[in-house]
Amino acid sequence: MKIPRLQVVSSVGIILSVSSALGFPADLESLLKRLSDPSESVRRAAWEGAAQEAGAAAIGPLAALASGDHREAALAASRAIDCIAHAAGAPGSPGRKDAAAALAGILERPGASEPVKLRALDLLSSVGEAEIAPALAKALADPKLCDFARKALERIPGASAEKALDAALAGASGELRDALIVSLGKKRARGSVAALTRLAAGEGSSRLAAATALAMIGDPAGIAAIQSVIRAASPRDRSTLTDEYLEMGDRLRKAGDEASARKIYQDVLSTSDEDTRRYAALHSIYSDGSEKDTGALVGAIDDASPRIRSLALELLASLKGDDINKTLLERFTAARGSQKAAFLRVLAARKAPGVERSLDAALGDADVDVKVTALELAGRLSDPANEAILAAALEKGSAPVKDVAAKACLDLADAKSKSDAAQAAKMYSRVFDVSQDASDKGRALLGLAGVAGVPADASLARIEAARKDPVLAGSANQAYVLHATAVGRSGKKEEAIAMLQSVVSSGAARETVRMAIASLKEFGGDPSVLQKKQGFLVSWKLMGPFPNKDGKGFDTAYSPEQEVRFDGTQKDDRGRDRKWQDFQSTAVDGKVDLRQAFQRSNDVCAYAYAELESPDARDVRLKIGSDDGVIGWLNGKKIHANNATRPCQVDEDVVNARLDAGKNRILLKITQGGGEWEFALRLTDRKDRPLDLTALGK
Amino acid sequence: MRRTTRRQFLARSGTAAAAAIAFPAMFPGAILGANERIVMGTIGCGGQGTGDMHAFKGAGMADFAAVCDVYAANRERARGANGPGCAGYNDFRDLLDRKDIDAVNVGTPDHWHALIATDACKAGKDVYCQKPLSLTIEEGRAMVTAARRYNRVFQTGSQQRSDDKFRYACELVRNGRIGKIKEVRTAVGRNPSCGWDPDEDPPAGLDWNMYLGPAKWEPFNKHRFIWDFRWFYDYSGGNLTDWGAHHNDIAQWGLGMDDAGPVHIDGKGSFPTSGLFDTPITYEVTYTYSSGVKLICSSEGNSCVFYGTEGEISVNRGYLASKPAEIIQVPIKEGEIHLYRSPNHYANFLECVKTRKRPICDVETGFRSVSVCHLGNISVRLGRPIRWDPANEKILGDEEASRWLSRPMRAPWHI
Repeated sequence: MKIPRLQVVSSVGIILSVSSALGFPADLESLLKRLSDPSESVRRAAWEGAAQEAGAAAIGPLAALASGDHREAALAASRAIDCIAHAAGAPGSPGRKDAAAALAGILERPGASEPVKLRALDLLSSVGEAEIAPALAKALADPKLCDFARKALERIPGASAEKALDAALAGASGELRDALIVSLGKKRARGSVAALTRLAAGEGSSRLAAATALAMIGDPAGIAAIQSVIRAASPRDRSTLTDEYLEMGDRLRKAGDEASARKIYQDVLSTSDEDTRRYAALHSIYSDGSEKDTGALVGAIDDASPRIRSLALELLASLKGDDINKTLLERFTAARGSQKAAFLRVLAARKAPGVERSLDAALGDADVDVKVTALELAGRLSDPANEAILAAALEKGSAPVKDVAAKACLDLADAKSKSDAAQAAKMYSRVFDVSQDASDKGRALLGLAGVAGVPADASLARIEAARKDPVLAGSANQAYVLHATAVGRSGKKEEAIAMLQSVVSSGAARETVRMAIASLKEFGGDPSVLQKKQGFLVSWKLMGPFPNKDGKGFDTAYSPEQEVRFDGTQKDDRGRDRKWQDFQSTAVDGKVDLRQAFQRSNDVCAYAYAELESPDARDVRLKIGSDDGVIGWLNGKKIHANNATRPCQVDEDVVNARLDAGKNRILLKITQGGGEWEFALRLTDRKDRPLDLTALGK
Repeated sequence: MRRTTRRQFLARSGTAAAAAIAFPAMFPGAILGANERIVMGTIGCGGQGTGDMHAFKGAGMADFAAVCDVYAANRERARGANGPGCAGYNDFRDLLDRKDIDAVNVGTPDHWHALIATDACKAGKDVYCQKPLSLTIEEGRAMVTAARRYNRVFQTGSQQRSDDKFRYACELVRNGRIGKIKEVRTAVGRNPSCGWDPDEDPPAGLDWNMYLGPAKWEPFNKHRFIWDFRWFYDYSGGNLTDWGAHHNDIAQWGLGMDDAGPVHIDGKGSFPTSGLFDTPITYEVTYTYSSGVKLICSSEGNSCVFYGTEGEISVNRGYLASKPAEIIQVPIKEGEIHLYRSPNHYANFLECVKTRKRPICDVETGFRSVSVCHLGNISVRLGRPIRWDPANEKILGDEEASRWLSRPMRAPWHI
């Protein structure tokens, strides 16, 4: 956008008259003039050099220009202030104090606009020091400036900034008051602990903010107040404050106050009603690996939460000390069932002396949990002789042991699949029926599809049922493709094609769709049924890439815009022969990846052409997504142009159009700056219902 | 019954013991979600968040029980894609209150990432968060801390890590196939400029105050909203973070700097002379690592090239080339460095939700990569070089720049 020269002269004239009257030097007048120049290169050079040619004294006049009506000049002046402030903030700069004072002066300057004052506060948060705290304290009283002033005081180090925030508490209320309190916390303002403790103990709405700030400051004197607020808080506030409380423990530990840190962790562990927080507390107690007191861990082995039980076992496995081994061996001897198995794992992980004896005892244990755990630890699960105990564990074991048994069964089944397919299928089926683990169930399904070739009805029924289960659908679809491929290869091609098309149109994972498409091609099926039913054009002819340096390709009419020729005589922008290349989209959402087609990715554009047979003339909508810009022509008439820089989202552009009866020609130009380069086009009726292109004759 | 010797037994159990508090899989089935279907929620239902949601569904094993967006049109569209059982929320905290949700997919503008992701970790959810991971370096560290404290699986959406070409390029570099690395050059694209389109009333169904959230108050302007938000420092960091979180992430990977970063950053930029956007149109940042290797990130183009004493490797989406050309023909051998392999970024996350292993672009990795980008922006905006201590995460000897490691939030938000 150009600035009308007359207006610029008028605007600068006002500034210049003021600056001249105040006796500003000529180079400042020159700077102001250049910042208002119609030429953007002059303006940019002016602000970029402002720090070198003008000091803090220029900030006031620049603020006046930045508050003016002429946006380019105001922007340039604002950038000049930035440059001066940042130069003053550089290490060793002698001008920092003067610049900060001048920025603070903007807050009092008549005529300075609100955005300019806010910008000054932003810059003060960068370069301000203790001396500007009074000015910021004053700004705290201005409703329009107060939050920026608070943020600046939060960033500026030193006691005077803390005092300014503290002093402002008395006159503040509501959200501002809470924000001031939290800023004190962020500053670790130890001098405010007493005041914050009183606030936390009071009845006001700021109790939560005060307790949060106390936790941020990390003074043990605040612990009792924090505990009391946590007990009384709403569930959501309780969670938030407990998080800060745990972080306080970390700060205290880092500062060397291990006893206070431990007090916090133990408090959360014993009083919180949330597994997540108790988990974090337990982990914190033992996170440095040096804790000797295992009381909390042994207690947590019986915790109601499986996550905490698991963590307790893991931590027990990692703690150092022979005395712990002794305790664990005693617990192992006394325990039964799944607990005994858990202690065995811990002893194994710890390499505890005498653990071999425990293991041998466990191998002879009647309990399936203990026995299977022992077999696993002894590395004997893959022994075919264990098939029966594994089957029993699958039926009767605890959840962790069922998991181990299922995996072992699957390993055994895999090993058997070539020599005894029937028995392997039986084992796969058993795991599928009993296991609660989706990946084991999925592996079982794939095993079923693989071993049996063409599975028995019962196996196929499992696969088909699993396709409807969102958790198992991924594996089940893969198994189904394997099965369908086997069906096709047995000669039943039509049956296989129907099965495979159902996978393609089911929204299955990309890799599974690729597998299905490969098999469809093998049996002569159409792999793009889904896309066509959703109205996507998937068969395109592409030509490119053409230049698009600085985005100029969008408005450059390359030869396909004049005429589309398939006889090999199409020319490119340099008059060379170019050919159209065929491209079939296999993406479920019909996207055409132009980078894949052209192996180029920057500053280019390309054309895409497709034909569509319509049985009659009809109103439709063309829905286009493109990365980046797109122009569209229908039957030679330009119907759409969007010079965008964007990712490709299906259906983003909607264009009402009318198809002719018979052949319709669609031409797109898609531009590209960098990154992804793709497009998708589909047709719907005027009520946004996709046109089924399989039925339309295409 | 065959006796097990102590040696055999300890050989099998030793690995888990060595893993100590790294949450070994020594106790199968005991971890939340290991045996369950993964129930997810999407927070931020624009193009990216919705696209990611569909990608999760395509990868299998994930159902979306809820979606959240402050713009009703986007929220309802995403909800409709999940069927009638899917709930819709305006406030992400309501979605996080749902105990049945195991993991969240965060696709909001950048200025919301840290608040939402840390709250999600605290609520016990695993997190897939779009890149750029954070708006500031302090926010990024807070995200790592929350993920670790609550033992959450946290994937950063820099999905080039799950692209074979990028992984292979980095493996070649790490195995010395182009000799000693001298320089990496990344190009991440210019930032656009725009006009002075007037402020307007927010569209119906948009909770504009919640959209702004921790960012300063501004009246609604279409440029501050969908897509264009990334050209404002209030909400993002321009292409230096938007694409930098891809290509600079790959540079970090290739250089083996996933837990570190550069020590010197020198950036320059040319800012718009008109219009609302405030990120520089052109820019170039030279990063120097402690080894002396330089990473030069510019706005001119879109590429990632490693230069060594014996050749160069250029990699991009769908593109891998080397000079000499034979370099990329020789596969990585057994015994050489093999990097984390993930064929699908979404599936990798879902798998890790089940196994509790770290995903390929763990939060610490995403944090380190976006820190590179943020440091570049700080240098560009201040107009001077800065020194960085990656071990202690401090800017050295520059008080003003140090303050830019964090950004106070608009009340009542804080992190």
